[in-house]
Amino acid sequence: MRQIIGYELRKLFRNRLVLFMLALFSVLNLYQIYGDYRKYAGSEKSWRDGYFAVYDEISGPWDNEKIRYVLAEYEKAKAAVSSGNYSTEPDQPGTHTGYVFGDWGLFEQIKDDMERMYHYGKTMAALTQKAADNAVFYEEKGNPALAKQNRLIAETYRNRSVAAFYDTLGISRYLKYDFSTLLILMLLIPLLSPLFAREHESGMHALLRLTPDFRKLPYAKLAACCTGIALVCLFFFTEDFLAFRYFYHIRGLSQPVWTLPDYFYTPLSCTVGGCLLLQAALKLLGFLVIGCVCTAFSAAAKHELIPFCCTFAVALVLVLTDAFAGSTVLSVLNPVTMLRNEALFRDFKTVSVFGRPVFSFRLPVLAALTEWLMLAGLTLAAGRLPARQRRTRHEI
Amino acid sequence: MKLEIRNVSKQYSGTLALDGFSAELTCGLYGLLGPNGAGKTTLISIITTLLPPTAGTVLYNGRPAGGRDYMKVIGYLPQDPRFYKSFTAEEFLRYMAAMKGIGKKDAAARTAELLEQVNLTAHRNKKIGAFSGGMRQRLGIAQAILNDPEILILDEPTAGLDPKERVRFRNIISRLSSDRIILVATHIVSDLEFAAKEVLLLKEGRLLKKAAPTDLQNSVAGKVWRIQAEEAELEQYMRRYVIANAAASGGQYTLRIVSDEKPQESAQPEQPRLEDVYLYYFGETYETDHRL
Repeated sequence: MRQIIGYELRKLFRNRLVLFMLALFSVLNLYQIYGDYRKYAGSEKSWRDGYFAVYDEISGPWDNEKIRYVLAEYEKAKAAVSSGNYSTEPDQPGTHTGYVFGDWGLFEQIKDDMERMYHYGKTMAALTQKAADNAVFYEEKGNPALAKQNRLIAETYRNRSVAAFYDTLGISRYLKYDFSTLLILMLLIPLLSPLFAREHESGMHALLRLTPDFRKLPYAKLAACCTGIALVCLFFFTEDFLAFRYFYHIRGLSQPVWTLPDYFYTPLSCTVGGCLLLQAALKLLGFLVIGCVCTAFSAAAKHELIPFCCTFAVALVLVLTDAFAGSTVLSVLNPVTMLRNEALFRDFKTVSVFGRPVFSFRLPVLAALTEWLMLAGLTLAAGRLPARQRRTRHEI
Repeated sequence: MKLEIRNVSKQYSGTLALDGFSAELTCGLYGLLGPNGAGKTTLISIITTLLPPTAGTVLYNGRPAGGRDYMKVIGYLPQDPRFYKSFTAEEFLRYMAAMKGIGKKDAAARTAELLEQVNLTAHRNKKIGAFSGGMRQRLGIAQAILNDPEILILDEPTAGLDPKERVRFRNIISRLSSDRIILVATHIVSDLEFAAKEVLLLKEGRLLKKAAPTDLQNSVAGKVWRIQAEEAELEQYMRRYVIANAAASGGQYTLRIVSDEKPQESAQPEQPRLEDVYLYYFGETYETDHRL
């Protein structure tokens, strides 16, 4: 079986169009990441250099010296800007970014980040206490649902703190970056469309049906499909991470995920690195669902153009639905939610399931898993059907 | 080894492609001859279980054809195989070996042996997309006999091949026919003339004849003629008779005619060939065929 899967993988990737798209998309992806970096890390090199140099100095466990330094630099820059007595010429000596105005913006941003992270533990302790008090209150008032909800809040945010300060820009941008998601989606359609359909086009279907192990073939193809999707994802996720790491000097992978500005109230309890892996896993799940849409079409079709067009249409509808439907039942069922999952874990949102509060992010994940299994089953069923023999021209 | 085809019929919405076909095949090479639309590929599809019959049954060694055990003993070469263009010859055979349940080690040895047998060793690492028609056919026969099948079915195996490739192909098939059932569906008569044990003539879904080539030739003895004709008479003869051959020489034509009746007083009887048998049963005059 492993051998057959290996050969099925070769069939998938020995496709000039796919290889060309892979090469082109990897270049486009790098270009887009570089553009993202130029946009968010400052368009001027002097600003970027100053930014990373300052963060290199002040990153690490909390240190009063570093806090005093940041505050002092901020006040100095603010005073200079307020006085109006500063030069607009680039590369000013005694500045970090080359501009006094740039220094002011930089240290204001660092100060705000520091305050957020420094006071996080206290903020959460207060919130936890409040939630615990609410739980007792609602219990006494005979409202078990709200009592459970508040207990969950208290459990989730208990004992949270931030032990170190670091630059979160790179990670934040990485989590929001979804251009490669679009590229992977575009690549998977031509990659997977021929999976079954090409056997009919090449006349191989009849030959394969006459082999003793024909029944294994749909399983091997499905396994190859999932492996192929995983390989493409691994390629782009790795490229994304390495590029972001290079440009943004990414750090803080071992820090708790709530250190990120957008994840202040996240219900997740994992490290930043864990969150990246979770995001990648959910994206992979989303691609597996859409990939199996393609393979189901391919198993039912005799020409690879049919699954190509049908999957493209379905993907377009899913993407547009995700863009315009908002947070509804449709977004729970839409596998594109998995592809753009960065927002799933930002906030504390629950739904009541048999009177118990359940984190709402679990629903689209469960839906995607179910859809994947159903579509995989559909692919296997369609792939195992005997081909309806078309009468060839000379038989008519 | 016995393959029995018992009263097999196949109906496609309104058209009867096969009509009560029955035959018994044992070890040796069998030819399935018939014009386009005779039902050759339909019969092959039923024997290989790619198609279910509308009526009748196919038995191998007394058991209904089909199932995993039957797939282990059958080898098939379809008409105009294209295979996978991006695979090399060796990769393709190894893939088919895996599909036929042959272990990795055995597959490596068998692949090398077969590539040698079909004279493709020098092209083992060449992509199939770069193969000529003849090379693809040879690769096709290699994949068909990977599992050393007891039944080998070949559908139009020499169509589109040049004479040298056809002869090479015929020799390979002849070597293989001593210990298995080989059924070759074709309308190229010369492929079967000297090697086939028996020839099955199929017309409009019905079995016309099943006999050894020599017996078939004898059955049209006295029905093959040679005559001389002027150019002005040529069209007249073509309208009236089935012409096997027309050779021009100095304004005159030597015609080889297949006909029950003597076409002219001076007509000379000729020794029938298998091609004459084909024309006798399937040939058409110009009037019927509207072809020159």
